[in-house]
Amino acid sequence: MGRSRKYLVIVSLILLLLLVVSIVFFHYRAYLLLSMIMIAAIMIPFFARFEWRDVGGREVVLLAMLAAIAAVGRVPFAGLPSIQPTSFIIIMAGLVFGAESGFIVGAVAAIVSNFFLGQGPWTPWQMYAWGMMGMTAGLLRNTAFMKTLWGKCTFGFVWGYIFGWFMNTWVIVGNIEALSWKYVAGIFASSIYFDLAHALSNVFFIIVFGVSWIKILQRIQRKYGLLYEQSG
Amino acid sequence: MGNGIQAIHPFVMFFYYMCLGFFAMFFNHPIFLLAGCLALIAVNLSHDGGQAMKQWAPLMVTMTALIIVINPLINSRGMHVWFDFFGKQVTFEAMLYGVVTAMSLLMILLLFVSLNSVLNGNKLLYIFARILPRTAFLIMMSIRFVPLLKRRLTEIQDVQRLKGMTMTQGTLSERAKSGMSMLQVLLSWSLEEAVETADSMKARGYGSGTRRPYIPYRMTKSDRRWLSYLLVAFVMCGTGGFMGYGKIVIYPELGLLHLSSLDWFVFACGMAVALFPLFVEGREQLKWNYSI
Amino acid sequence: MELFNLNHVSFSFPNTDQHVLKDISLSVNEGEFLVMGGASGSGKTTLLKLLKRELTPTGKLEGEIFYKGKSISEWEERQMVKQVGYVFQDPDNQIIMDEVMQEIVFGLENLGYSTFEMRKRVAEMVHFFGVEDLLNAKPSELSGGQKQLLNLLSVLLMKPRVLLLDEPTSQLDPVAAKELVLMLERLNKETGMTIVLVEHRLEELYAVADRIVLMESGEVRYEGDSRQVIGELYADRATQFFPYLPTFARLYMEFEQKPIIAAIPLTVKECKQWIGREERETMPVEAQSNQLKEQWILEMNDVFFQYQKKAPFVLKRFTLRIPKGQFFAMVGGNGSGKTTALRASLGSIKPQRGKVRLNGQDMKKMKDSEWLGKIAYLPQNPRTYFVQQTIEEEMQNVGERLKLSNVTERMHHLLEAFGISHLRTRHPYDCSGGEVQKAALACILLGEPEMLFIDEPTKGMDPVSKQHLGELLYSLQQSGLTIFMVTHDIGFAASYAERCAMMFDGEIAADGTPDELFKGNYFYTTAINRATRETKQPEVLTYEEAVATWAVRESI
Repeated sequence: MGRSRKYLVIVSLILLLLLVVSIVFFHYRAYLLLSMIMIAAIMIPFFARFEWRDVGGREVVLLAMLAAIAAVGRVPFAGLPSIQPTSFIIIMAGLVFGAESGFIVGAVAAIVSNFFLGQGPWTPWQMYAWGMMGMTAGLLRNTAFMKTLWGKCTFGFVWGYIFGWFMNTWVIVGNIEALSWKYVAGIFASSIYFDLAHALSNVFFIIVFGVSWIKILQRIQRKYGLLYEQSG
Repeated sequence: MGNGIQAIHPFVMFFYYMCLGFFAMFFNHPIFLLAGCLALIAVNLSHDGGQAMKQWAPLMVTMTALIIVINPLINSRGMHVWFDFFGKQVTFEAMLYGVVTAMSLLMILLLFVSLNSVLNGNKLLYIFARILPRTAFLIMMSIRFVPLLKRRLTEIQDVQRLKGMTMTQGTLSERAKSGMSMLQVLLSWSLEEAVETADSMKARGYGSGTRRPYIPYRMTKSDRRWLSYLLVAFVMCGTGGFMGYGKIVIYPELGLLHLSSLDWFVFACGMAVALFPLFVEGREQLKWNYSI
Repeated sequence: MELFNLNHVSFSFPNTDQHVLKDISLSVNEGEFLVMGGASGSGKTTLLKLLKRELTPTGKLEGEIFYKGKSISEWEERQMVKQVGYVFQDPDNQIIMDEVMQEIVFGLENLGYSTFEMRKRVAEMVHFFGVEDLLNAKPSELSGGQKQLLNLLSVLLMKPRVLLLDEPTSQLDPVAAKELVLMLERLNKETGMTIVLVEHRLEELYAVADRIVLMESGEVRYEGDSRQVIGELYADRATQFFPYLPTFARLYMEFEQKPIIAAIPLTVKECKQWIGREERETMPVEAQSNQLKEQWILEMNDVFFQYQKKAPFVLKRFTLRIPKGQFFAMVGGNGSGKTTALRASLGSIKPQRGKVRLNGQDMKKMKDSEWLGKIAYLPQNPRTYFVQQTIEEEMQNVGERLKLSNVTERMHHLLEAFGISHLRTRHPYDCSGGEVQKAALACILLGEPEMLFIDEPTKGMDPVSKQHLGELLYSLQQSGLTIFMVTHDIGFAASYAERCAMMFDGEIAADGTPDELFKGNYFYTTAINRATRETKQPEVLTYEEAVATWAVRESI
């Protein structure tokens, strides 16, 4: 593990350096490059935590399986493109297994599904958006708000939009000098149908399947003996 | 292990893509970007005759076209007014800016198309395994589960369809319910089975101490030579870029598009990097044809 | 030398008083091929897991387990990982990596070997097994048998002293299962590897094993040399173990007037010698074509199917008719297309050419809802059936979907008839494989279907449960249900099905009664059939047939 720790420190230092360099030197403002570096820099602590934490074999398998299920979640819905089941699965994972696991499941689900659909410049954005979705679900899971059905539904609805915004951002930063309210509004308007469908399908799944999924995941948590390790 | 570009060490290839990605986002001279795009198209053609590119073509075309058309319409910065469009001034600068942005984006997309076919699956993970071994391992396992889950999902669909859970009939909410019910079966079933996967890992010593990953790729002499070649060309090109070559000023007023001889030098270095896969393939071809 | 030594070992799972293992004393010797048998739930898997320290289940362990004279808990962790290899039942679950090469070196990576050492060991082992072509494949593209071979390989690469295998062939077809057993035999003979194998399908293993251990409800009941165990079983009249014996041995013990323990036949060759050869004119079988105008419930005419445009056809001119009320079984090797044929008859896939008719109606033109409740499907893995959290909820749910009246009453009746009333509030995953299967069958029959499709129902079942299932299916058929079963268990098909067909290369190669179809085959038949061919006794397919048709016991 020592070697990976060293590498990781080196990489984060390089990223930090790149960030400074790009801000100072890039008069021309390469925003896409900058934004990618920033996203990587934000995500690294989460992955670092996962690398250094004491993680048992069972937990690794469980997380890998959840991410894979989230990634293949789209398969039965191939005929219904407006329905997005992946987010629901990630939220559920975060709710039951906590913030760290939620982040890993979300981020890995994005990478894995792109391994089959094709990686692109959107991969880091997607990783970040889904990772954050799982993480916030985990962070808020013990609050009174998230304990209610309404709370969960609101959470799912809001994230349906935030996810869409994140995916819009990567288009916007590529073209940031053209930034104007009209431009941003135009891009957001073009995705409004997808975002709404995403938000509504999250709400729908949480209402219909939320209870049974949480039950199943808790059952697994007991079976794997992962009940006491979570800090939230 | 394949030959030609597939036989090059993944790290060298990764470095190549990093360089190109950097160029795409760094330079903004239209000639530079156009040449970059053309080079990548040639590289993609050399992989598979453009099969993968064809799949991505709709996305690439619509994106480029949209940016080129939209940018001048919503943005009126710049000095050279081209024409009036419903009371909106369409400037030459905005137009050019759209083209530059679109090409830079296109270049990135083309780069990823090539990356997907060269650094497929495990090669990409191998690079990250050095830095994030456990995450890479997790991703690898997750990728291994995907075909298994797809097969299980087919089995589940066969069974559940005869129970009345169908994706082809009923209202949207009924179908969504059916789909998620199937995922629910997949979830409980697969997580239950995964206990044995974890046991199998443990039985083979996972977590018993320091793990030493198997290194499937060997850095050969020619890999090292290619890497230093790329490094030299990239540094020269990057230095030129920092000194301001290969870039133009668009806003507020369009600068000169003229390329000086030093610009051409930077351009040549950039091309030396961009066309690297073609050199590798070409060398291979020559060896095949002219060696005894 | 003793490798393992169990000294009065008992084991119980947490929160139960029941002992899974009771006072077991057993030793495993170096270089030995030990086979363990017994019904599901007799504790044999738990016993095997106790020998592999990393897999020891949580629970209360009494007594002591020694490995090479030292208590198993005192050994260094990596030493134990290295020295004791373990292969699991399910070929898929054990695979971790996405590439065969990565998978087989996984254990070595964990133990910290150098890449040089890994390459060396892979080269040697792959050569021994002759599986060079597998190295560049993806695990998901392999067949079940190849996957299990891969799992064996990845364990062997760690150079274990002893190999533990938990029903490794239960998910494989007979040909692949035989290959795996042959491989184990070779390993044992050529490298002196100690092997402990837990298995239901013991037929061929009696000849291979140095020692047999039979378990029942947590205790070792019989232990010793194969022939000696058979002799003891018959001396004690321990009928519950008879289904686990090779058919030859049973016939010998029952038909031979003065059986000698040392002469019990364990292989086809020995059995033939015992019965005595007799040249007989083999008559080519004329299948009676009873193509009378019967009422077909399922008709498949000239069906062609391919999964992808450029892929080869999986079904080619596939034609099949099943009359009402028949118990039909289809057998065939891996990749013969039998599962595809089943899926086409279920309407899961739409054939490119040809018609599938259900009760005279073209399935292509029917909607999913039209056959709802009319046809039922019991999948290979019955767990795929359950969406709800308990069996009772599932049945209620089925009742609602099919809009049935008096669901509760019918539910009670079915659960009672299958003997699983006590499982009503249980989670389907907390039941054993056989119980889940029965529960799924109960749910399916709730809708009173006309036709039942079954896919490989006997996979991983012990002989006694198999017998129960066969009788259950037979009684269902007697009450008017049409059954279409796909299986590679020829013994099972021959015992219970009315009509069988053999599939080969996308079409039905032969079709007839079990007798017409299987008698006279070299490989695609039961071992007892091979042993009784051209002998002084009539040719038989199953033990029951032999008991019924063979001349009186005195005749031999």
